[in-house]
Amino acid sequence: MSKNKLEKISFPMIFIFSLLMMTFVYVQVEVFDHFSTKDLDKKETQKEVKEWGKIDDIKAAKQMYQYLDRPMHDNNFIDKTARQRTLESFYELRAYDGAPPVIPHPVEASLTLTGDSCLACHENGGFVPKFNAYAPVVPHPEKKSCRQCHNPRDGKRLFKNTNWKKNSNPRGVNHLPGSPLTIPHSIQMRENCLSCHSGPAAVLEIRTTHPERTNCLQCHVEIKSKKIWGEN
Amino acid sequence: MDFDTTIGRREFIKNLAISSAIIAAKAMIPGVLFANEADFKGLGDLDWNKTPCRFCGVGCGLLVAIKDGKAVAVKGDPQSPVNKGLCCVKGYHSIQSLYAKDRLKSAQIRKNGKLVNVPLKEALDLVASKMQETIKKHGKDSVSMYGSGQWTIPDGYIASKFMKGAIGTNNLEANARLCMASAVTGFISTFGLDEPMGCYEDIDYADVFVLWGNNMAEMHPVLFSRILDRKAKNRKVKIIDLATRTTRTSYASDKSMLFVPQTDLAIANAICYEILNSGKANFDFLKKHVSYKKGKTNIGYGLEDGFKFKDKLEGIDLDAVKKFLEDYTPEKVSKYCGVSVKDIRYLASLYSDPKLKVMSLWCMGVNQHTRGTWMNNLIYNIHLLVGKISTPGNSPFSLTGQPSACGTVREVGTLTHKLPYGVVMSEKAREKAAKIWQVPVSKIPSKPTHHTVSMFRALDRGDIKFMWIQVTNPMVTMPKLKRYRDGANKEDRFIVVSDIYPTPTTEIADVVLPSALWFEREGMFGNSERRTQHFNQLVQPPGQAMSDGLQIMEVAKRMGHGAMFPWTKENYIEKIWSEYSQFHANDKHSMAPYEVLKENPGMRWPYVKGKETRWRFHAKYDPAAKGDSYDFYGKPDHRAWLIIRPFEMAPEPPNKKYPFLLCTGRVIEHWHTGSMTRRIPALHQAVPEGYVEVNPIDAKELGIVNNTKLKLSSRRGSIVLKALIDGRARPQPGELFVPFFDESLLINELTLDAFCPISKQPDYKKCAVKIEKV
Ligand code: SF4
Repeated sequence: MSKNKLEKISFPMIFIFSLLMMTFVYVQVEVFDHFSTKDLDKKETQKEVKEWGKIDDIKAAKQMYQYLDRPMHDNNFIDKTARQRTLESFYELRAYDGAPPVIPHPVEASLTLTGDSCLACHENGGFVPKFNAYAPVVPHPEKKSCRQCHNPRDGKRLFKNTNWKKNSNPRGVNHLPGSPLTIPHSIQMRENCLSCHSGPAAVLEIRTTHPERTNCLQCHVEIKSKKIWGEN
Repeated sequence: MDFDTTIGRREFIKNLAISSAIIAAKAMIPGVLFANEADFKGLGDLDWNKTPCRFCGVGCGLLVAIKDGKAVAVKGDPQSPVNKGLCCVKGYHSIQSLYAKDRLKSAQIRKNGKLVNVPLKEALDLVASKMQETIKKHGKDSVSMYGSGQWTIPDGYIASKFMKGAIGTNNLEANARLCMASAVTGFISTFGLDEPMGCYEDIDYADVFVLWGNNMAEMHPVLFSRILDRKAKNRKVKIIDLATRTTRTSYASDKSMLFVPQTDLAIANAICYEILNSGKANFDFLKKHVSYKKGKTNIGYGLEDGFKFKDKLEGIDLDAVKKFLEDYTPEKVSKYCGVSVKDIRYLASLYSDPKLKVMSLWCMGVNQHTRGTWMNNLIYNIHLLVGKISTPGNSPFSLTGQPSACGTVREVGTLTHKLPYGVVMSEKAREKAAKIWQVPVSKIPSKPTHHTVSMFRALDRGDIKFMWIQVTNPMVTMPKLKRYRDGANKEDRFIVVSDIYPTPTTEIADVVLPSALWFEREGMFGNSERRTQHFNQLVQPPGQAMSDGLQIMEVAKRMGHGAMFPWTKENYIEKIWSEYSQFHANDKHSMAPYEVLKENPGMRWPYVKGKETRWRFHAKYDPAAKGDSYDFYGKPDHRAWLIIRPFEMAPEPPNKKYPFLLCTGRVIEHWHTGSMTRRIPALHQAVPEGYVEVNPIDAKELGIVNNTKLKLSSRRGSIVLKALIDGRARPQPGELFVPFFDESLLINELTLDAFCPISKQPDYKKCAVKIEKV
C-alpha cells in the first residue's frame, strides 16, 4: 500500500475519531464528571510522593470504576451489523493467552512512535467505517509506548516452521450452577474488565450481560492458585 | 461535511442520553436479571428455598436450590428488599461451606493429648459433669460461655437462659464484643436504645455518602452496589471516602481523604466546629430535640488486668459545646490529621447543606478503636447539629459485620451485662426475665462479670476454669493471642468447642461438639437494619452434628435444668420465638410473629400492628414516637444527647524501634477467620494466603518488592509474611495492613489488647510494629 493511499484513508478516519473523542471528553466532563476519580488528591494525602516521583494508581482497585456507566457499554448501543470480534479472531492475534496482540491493520510509520495516535481510536473505542468494525478498547491507556509491545503484522509467512503450540485458552469456571464465573486469567494490564467484556468491540462469546453493574470484582474473583486449601 | 457531522454529533449525544436512561432503568432493579437469566439447566427440577446469607451483616436474601438432600445452587432472592436478587462472591459460593471433606461429624474428647472420636452422648455427659463439678468446686462464676454474632437468635436465647437463668452467672459473652460493642455503647449513650434509627432504604434517598473508615466495596459489597446504583440514577450523588488506606472504595468515590489513624476524633470535632461556627447548624432542631452532655476524659486503654471504668455524663449547654470545639478548628486539626482545611470545610458544607440528604456509614474502623464509643457519639453529634436523622436519606448508619450480631448478641443480649430486655443491673429487667423464665429473681445475678478480653484474662489467671466456645474462633481472633492461648492450654482449664471444622480453637479443646451449620437446622438471623430473617431446615446435618442450641439444651437437661427447656427438636425454634418475643412486646421493639417471618424475606422491628418500622424516633414513621416530629424516646428527656468527646492519642504510637502502624482487617473473598471460606475453592483460590500490604514509598526505601518475605514484630510477637504492594489496596506511608483470615499466619500474635474503656471492644487497627527482610 502506498503512502499516499494510506494518507487518504487515515486522514478522514482520524478526523472522525477526533470528533468521537471530543464527544467522549464532553460526555466525561459534562455528564459523567461525578464518576471521575480525579479527586484522589495525591498531593495532599501522600506528602512524600514528590520525593519519589509519581506513584501509579492501584490498577486493580481503580479500573473497574473508571468506565462506570459509559453508554458505550450498553449492548443496546451496538450496531449489530458491524463486524464482531470473536474468541477465534481474538486469539489469532496472540501467541498465547496474555501475550500482547499484534496489530492486524496497517499503521502509518510516522504516527506510531507514541500512543497518541493509537489512543485516538483505542482509548474509548468507536466505529471504524473502513473496517466496518468497532475499535477494541485498550485496557491500559496510560501506557503510551504502544509499539513497545504491539507490532503490526506484515504478512503471515514464517521464516522457518515452528513447533510452538498455543496453550489452551483459559475458561472461566462456574463452581456451582449459575454462580458467577471466576476470572481465569491474570488481570495484570487487563484491569479494565469492560474493555474486553463489554461494549461494541467486546469479544462476542465473553460479552457480559450486565455491564451496568460496574462493580465486577464484587462477584468475579481472580484465581491466583489452583490448589484446594489443605492439599499440597 | 461540517453540517453532516453536527447532525451526527447531536444524534450521537441523543443516543447517549437514551442509552444512559436504559442503563439507569436497569440499575433500578439491580440483579433481578441475574436470578432469572443464570443457567440452571441440567439440574432438572429444583426446589428453591429462601434463607439469609450465612456470611456478612448485610443479610442478603438468598435462594438455595436443594436436590437429593443437598444444596446445589444459589441465586439472589429477587423478593428480598435487601439485595433485590444480587449477591457477592461469598454469597454465591456460600453453600459450598457445608461440604468440605474435613467436616466435623463426630464428637471428640481429648484423650492422652489427642482428640478421639466418641459417641455424642459420652461427650455431652462429660461436658455436663465437668461443668457441674467446676461449679461445685469453684463457684458459678468459674464457668463461662463464649458465643458469637453468627449464632442464630434461638441459639443465643438458649445460651442466655442457660447461663443467666439456669446456672445463674453473668459469664456470657460473644465475639460481637470484638466487633460491635462500641456501636452499642454509642447508641446507648446518645439515644438510650441500641441499633440504627434508619434502614437500607436510606441509601435510595441520600445525596451524599460519607464513609468513615469503611471499605464498603469489599466488606459490605451488596450495599455498596446499592450506593453505586443510587449514583447511576442521580449524578449529583457524592461518595466521600474518609479512610486510612486507599482501597477499591476510594476509587469508586468522588473524593478520597486519607487521615492519620486515630485523628478521626479530631476531624469529626472539626466538622462540628465548622457547622456551628458557620451558623449552619439546625438551631431549631437543637432547641427542641437535643441535650448536651460531657463525659469523663483521659479514660485509659484497659491494658492492665482488673481495669475498671465507668463513664459519667454531666449536662452542659450549647455555649460549653462551642467553647470545647474551639480546640478543633479546621486549621488546628488539619495540622495533625492529614486532611486539608479545605477538605474539612468541604465535609462540613456537605453535612450542613440543607438541600442535601446525608448518610454516614461506618463499621470496624470506628468500632475497633480505643475511643470507639466516642467516635460513634461524634458522628451522631454531626448529624444532630444539622438535624439530619431519622428521616429517609438522613441517616447515621452503623453497619454490622456479622449476620446476626444485631439479632442475636445485641437484641437477645448475650453479653455479660445484658438480658433479652434491659441490663442485669436493672431490677425491673431482672424481674421481667425471671417471670418469663419462671425462675426466682435472686437467681439472676445483678452484677456484670467479665467482658470478652477480661474473660480470657480470667481464664488465663484461673478465675475461670471452664469455657464453652460456640460458632467462633477466638484462637485466631483474640488480640495479643499468645497470652490467651497459653492461658486456655493451662493444666486445669476445660474448654468445650462447638464447631463445624477443625480450627486453631478446636486445637485447645478438651471436648469438640459437631455443629449443624446454617440451613442444616431451622433458625433466624438479624441484620444491620433491624431485619429479622427466618430460614427453614433445608438439608440434614452430617453425622452427629446438631444445632448449637440443642447441644446446650442437652447439657442443661443433664444438669437438671430440663424443665426450663421443655421443647422438642421439632418445635423448639417456634416455641423459643414466642417466648423470646415476650421480652420485646412493646411498640419500641416488638418482633414480627413466627408465621410472618416464615413467609417473608425478613421484617424490621419494631413490628407493630402488622407493619414494620423503617425509621425510628420520628412520629411520621415510628408508632412509638409521640408528637408530630422527632421523639428520642430512648432517653428520659425525650431528647438525643450530644456528648462532647475530645481527641485522645492511641495507646501504642509508632516509635524508632517500632516505626510502623499495623492495621488488620478482611478481604471480600474471606469471611472472618476463613474456616468456612477457605474451604470454598473459588474463594481460597482467589486469596490463598495472608500477606502484608506495604506502601510503595516505604517499599522502595526498604528495597521491598512483591513477595519479599518480611518479618513483622511487635512487642508481643512476630510472624513472617510476604509483601504485597498495590495488590488491591494501599496503606499510607508508615502503615501496614494484614488480613486476619489465615490461621497459619496469625497476625493477632502481634496485636494489642487495648480496648475502648466504655465498650470494652479491642482496637485491631493500631499497634506499633517493625519489619525486617528475611
Ligand atoms: S454482601 Fe454479605 S450477606 Fe450479601 S451475599 Fe455478600 S456476604 Fe452474603
